[in-house]
Amino acid sequence: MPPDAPAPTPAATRVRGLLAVRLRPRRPALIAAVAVLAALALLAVLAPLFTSLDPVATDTSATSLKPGSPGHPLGTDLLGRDLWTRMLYGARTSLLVGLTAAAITVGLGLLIGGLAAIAPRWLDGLIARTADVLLALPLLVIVLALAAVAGPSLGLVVAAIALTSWMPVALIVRAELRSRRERLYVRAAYALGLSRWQVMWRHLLPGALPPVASIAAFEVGHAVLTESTLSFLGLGVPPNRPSWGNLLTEAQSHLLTGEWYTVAIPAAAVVATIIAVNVVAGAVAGPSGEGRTW
Amino acid sequence: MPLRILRRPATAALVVAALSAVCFGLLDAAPGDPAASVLESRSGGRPPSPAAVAELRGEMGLDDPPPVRYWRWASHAVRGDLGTSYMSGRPVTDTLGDTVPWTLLLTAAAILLSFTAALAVGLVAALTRRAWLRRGIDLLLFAMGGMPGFVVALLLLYAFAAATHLMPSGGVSRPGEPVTAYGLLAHLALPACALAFGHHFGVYVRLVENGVGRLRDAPHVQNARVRGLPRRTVVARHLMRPGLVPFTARLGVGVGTLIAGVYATEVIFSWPGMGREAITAARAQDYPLLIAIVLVTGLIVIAANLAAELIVAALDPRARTGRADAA
Repeated sequence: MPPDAPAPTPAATRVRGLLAVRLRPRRPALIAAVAVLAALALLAVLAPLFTSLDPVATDTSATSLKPGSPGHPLGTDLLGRDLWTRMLYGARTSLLVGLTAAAITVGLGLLIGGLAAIAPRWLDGLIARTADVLLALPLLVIVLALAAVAGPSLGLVVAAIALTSWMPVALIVRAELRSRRERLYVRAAYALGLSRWQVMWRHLLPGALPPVASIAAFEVGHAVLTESTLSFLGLGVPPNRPSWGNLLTEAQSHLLTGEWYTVAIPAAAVVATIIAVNVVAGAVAGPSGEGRTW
Repeated sequence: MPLRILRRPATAALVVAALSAVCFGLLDAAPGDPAASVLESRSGGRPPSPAAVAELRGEMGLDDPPPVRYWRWASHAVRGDLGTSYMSGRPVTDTLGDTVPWTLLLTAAAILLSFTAALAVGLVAALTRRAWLRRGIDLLLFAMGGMPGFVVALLLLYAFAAATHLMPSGGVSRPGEPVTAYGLLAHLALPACALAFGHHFGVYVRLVENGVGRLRDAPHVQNARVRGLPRRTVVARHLMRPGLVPFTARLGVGVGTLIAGVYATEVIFSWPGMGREAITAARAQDYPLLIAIVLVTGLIVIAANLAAELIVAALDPRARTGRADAA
């Protein structure tokens, strides 16, 4: 960019990888997004209050009911399982995986990025290089292989997502900390005799948190997306446990036979969650410049 | 500069080494004893005696330390020997030969579609003065940003195949009929679109939009305009060439994201490529085949990244000096 080019508007320069697409922060969208997320969380947490049925119990007398049938507001599947109930319990699984995976991802990223920022040069270089290399690999594919080798389980999905998505967080934390390391207030803290860890905790990390908060929110969306993809492929959450991805796998064959709603409902839940998370993440102050690379 | 240019292939080689180590590690950690399964298939399904298993393990070198085994595996892999599929008993390389071309065709079509569309939409968004058009694009990209690739695929499948029968719902030709050019194109359209317009599409549009948009009122562009150059020339020579460097730089990563979507897309549209094969292999716990496909996918992505970097180096002199923030 030529030096005297007009300064780009902040909203236009912030491209953030996978979930970069978002509305310009506007209040109504943000409120709607928070409302959607709150409603989903409430439904998931209080699932037993909103349904009296068992998500895995089959009922051969009520198979393939249409939405709006008495007692089954969203209908039932081929085995007579209530879709509304399965959606509620599916939300539990999907949101749980999304939140825990994102939390572990961010924790891991903070730890590794923080380590890189205060580590000796060779270790810092090693961490940055490793992150670059991992970013260049198609990680979903490796997660897939990992899931196949270890067998599907909830913990594995969470671990696999965290292990393959800490790099952007770590790189941002590292960059933020490095840019702060030489600032006057940090040097003053060192001069006052504070240890590396004290400076880290009290002066460096708090400053790095706003960009991390934004990316943490995006990570939730990314984790929900990855979980649903893995479960859809039959390699995520074990099939006996309802999750939105699992519901979609089961419903996929109904698409051609006309029961489109069995696909539309879980798909809409996934899409609504990710979009709402994106809105919230976009509203949180983000890091400057380009962040994520996937 | 030649030394600088050589650094990129060197890094790529390092990534290949890391990828192969991960693949070997996964293969090594996979449940089941290869020696036992070989004996079982030789004896027609009878469980082998522990002594026989132990002897074969020694013969196959399974008791050697991991680095030795990795080296043996890697040197076989380089020569095209990736083991035998548990499911079919065929060499893994044969299965790859049957499926990889289909995947490459699908991916190439999707890449062409995705990047051309991103270029067009991004240019419109960057250059239009109509607020409603820009807003419409924003909204569209925003909705797409929340859609996992498989949701797009299911949506297309329903809209064009299940509900309206406009397009074939899967495969590469009608059942029982040979593959024809026209038929292939018809069968390719939906999966290619599904792969091309997933949640990542918006990223490329934004890269084009930002890259070109920030140059729109730059002095050199104003100068070109004032000199009376036709709009087409201004856009092509003074806006697109410098403005598309970030977009080009991201294409390598883009290929990687796209290929990751191949799995779900191929499963949904019954495309006979390596993605569907990988899922079948994963469900059947056919590890040699699955991990060979992971390796091949990784190699394709690494090659694409390397190609993109070399193209950027050709386009942007600043990138040749190895400054990471050049683009």
